[in-house]
Amino acid sequence: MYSNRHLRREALSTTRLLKADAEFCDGCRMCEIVCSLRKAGMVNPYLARLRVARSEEGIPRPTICRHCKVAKCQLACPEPGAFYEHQGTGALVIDESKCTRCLKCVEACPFAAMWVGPGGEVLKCDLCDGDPVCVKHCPYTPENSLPHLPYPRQSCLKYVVRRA
Amino acid sequence: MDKSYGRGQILKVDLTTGTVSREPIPAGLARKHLGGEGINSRLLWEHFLKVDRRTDPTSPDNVIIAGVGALGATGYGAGTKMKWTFKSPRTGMFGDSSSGGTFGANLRWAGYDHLVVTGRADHPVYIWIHDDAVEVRDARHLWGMDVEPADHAIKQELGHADIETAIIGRAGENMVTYASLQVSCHRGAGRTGAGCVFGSKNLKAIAARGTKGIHIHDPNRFLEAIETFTTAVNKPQRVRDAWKNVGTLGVFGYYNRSGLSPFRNNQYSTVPQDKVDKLTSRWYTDNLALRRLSCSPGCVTGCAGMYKIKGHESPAAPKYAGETGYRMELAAQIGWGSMCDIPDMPALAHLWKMTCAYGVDVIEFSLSCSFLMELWERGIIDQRDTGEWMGEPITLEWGNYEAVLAVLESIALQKNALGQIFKDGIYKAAQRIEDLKGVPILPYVIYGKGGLPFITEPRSNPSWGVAIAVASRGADHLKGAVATLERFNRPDLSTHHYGRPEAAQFATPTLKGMDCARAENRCAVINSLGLCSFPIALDTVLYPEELFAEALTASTGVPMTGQEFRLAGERTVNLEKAFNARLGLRREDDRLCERWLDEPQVDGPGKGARAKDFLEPAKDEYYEAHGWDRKTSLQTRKKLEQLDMSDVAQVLTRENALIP
Repeated sequence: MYSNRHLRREALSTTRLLKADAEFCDGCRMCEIVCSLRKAGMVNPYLARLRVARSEEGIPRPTICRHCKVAKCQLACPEPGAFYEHQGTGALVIDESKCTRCLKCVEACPFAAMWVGPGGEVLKCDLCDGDPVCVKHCPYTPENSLPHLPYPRQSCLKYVVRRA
Repeated sequence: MDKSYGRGQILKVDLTTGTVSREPIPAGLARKHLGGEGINSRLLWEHFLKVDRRTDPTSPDNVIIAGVGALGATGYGAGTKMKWTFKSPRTGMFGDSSSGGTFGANLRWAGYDHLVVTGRADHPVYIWIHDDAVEVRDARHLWGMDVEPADHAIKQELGHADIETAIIGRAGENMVTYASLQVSCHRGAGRTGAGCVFGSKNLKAIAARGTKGIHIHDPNRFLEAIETFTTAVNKPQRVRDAWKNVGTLGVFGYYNRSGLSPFRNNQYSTVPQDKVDKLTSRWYTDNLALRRLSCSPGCVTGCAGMYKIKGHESPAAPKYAGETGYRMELAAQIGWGSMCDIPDMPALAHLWKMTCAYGVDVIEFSLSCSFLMELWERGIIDQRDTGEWMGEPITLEWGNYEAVLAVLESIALQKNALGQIFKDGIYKAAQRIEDLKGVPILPYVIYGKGGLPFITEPRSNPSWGVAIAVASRGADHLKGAVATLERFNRPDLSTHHYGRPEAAQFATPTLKGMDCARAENRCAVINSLGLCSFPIALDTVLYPEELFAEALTASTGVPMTGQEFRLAGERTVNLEKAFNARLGLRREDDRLCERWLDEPQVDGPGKGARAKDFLEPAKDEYYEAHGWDRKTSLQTRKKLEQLDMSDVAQVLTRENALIP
């Protein structure tokens, strides 16, 4: 069961840019905190562009923007050009100057990976110009491997470059 | 505006009147005591200048102070450890207890670094902190609930899934003096009875949800500080191999090889090999581990976890088949596994779950069980007694985990006479049983300062021996012992601090008192910063105070140096000492139990060692290293003035507790 799921995930991951593997998430929320530090200049998980919630049993559930190829958020947006693909990273980002804060994109996201900040602004991952600070600080990485547990070479947050 | 960078406010709630007030942390206080444990201790000190210092800890005049240090909840890589400070109902002296969990982080994210609760409500209440909105709410419908159902009910009532709570179980409601406070359900602030203080105030819980966050003065510099620190945390092999996998469970094997695992109420110091095999962290990961978790936000170690009992792992497992829960810590492994001789991890996991549900300090409770079992073995108590005390003739033979469960229910729910005997802790229980039986049984109790029991073998480990005898909150490891160099054999650090390696030499008394004093100052710094002691307190070279100073400077914008940090740590140790000195504690109160003092260790590498041979000289050295008086253990005016604590000196002089 384990391995099949992982094979499937690996195959899917090559078409995406950033993914979080709940299987390996500690729930330490480093990603949320450093994201808010980078993006909002303060420590506040409610301003982060990704979230780690906990299920009722206490299992961490990371949610992160997948930068979908066919993005429901982009399709829902009534403002032409408000969503565009970042030239360097290929990330799907929002042009703040064109956004009217109608929040249709937030409603449309099937993964609930977009949030609303205290000023009504849309909080969406933009891949930090190709150097995602969350990935950098995720402690569950192969370098800090866990020889006793299954899949010691796996990491939780991954930055996968899109296939050419 | 600059002042508020990286800092929150002090929130004060008076339960008698239901009033809520807020005040900023004075800049001088933050500089002198850093935060967390330091400022907590200062607030406690100030509170007991206003009320009678001899006041009963369960009276409304006692106070309970929660505090998260300035680097807690900021993603600084060593988690979010908060401190609960109060006058202990268990020992009657200074009391505090730390806990992980996400509650402390939410408190800080709501804008409060400290929470001071005074008074007593006339009916059960809980405090709800939602950013700027703070209210005291009715908790009559929660009274009588176990921890997890109460947590669930609060979340449903308030309508947010991400609310975090600090809750007492039924032991706290019944005011068992060593009731724990369960933070985020599974992280217990167990020692010295925080739960009992909650119970005495009719306070069932505190719930917090913080969305305001913490303003950081220089976010980029702070991110760099985080990266430097987390790289350092991940560097040692021991962190990657042991802490990340199994946390505190990982040291059991090492302790046992070193003869530091007390077995059968510490009559022995090593566990037979066949039993060790069933108690190691390896057995746990092979059979029970479900996944690992971080106990609190911002921890890159992540030494907590969840287990699942499948049902065929051990003799006890079929009974608890299908049970999942949060992983036990070393306290269960030694407290029940080896002290009570229950080499059955599924049983320990279940016991751990139940103590968390009722809210009892695992260390004190497990040692109460092993103490009862030794009395049973010696024939001092038998089925007639258990029948009389517990209503059914339970046998208390070694390894009987069902009896342990029965004892737990007796104590936590105060069901019967046994519960009442053990309500005030193991030392008073021994005195009560001695009165009932008319035979001397105090020699079989394991305890250190304050009559507080502790799970370790200090006889062949003098630095822990002296640390347990002198710790401000009573026998405990987190006040200094964990940062001493002997147990984890660090001659390199000994050379670094003292110019010679002897402080790390096993089972010799040289330099141990001095090392304990240094370690206490060090631990006070870590606890004042809101970080976790476990991975970082010991290694002062890899994680020097300068590293933390840089991070705090980046987050608050107030430049601070490592030397100031060390002084702040020493100030906190001195303040706690002064609190106890005001209560009349002197040198003779820094003590260990008879078993540790007089009985030589019977096995292991430390065979033949006893605490009598080193304790008094080590204490001399310890007091001297702190600059205190050897004869009485009291502080000196000179030392306090050096630390800029003349106001404390003044109070102590007035009460005749200072050497001029």
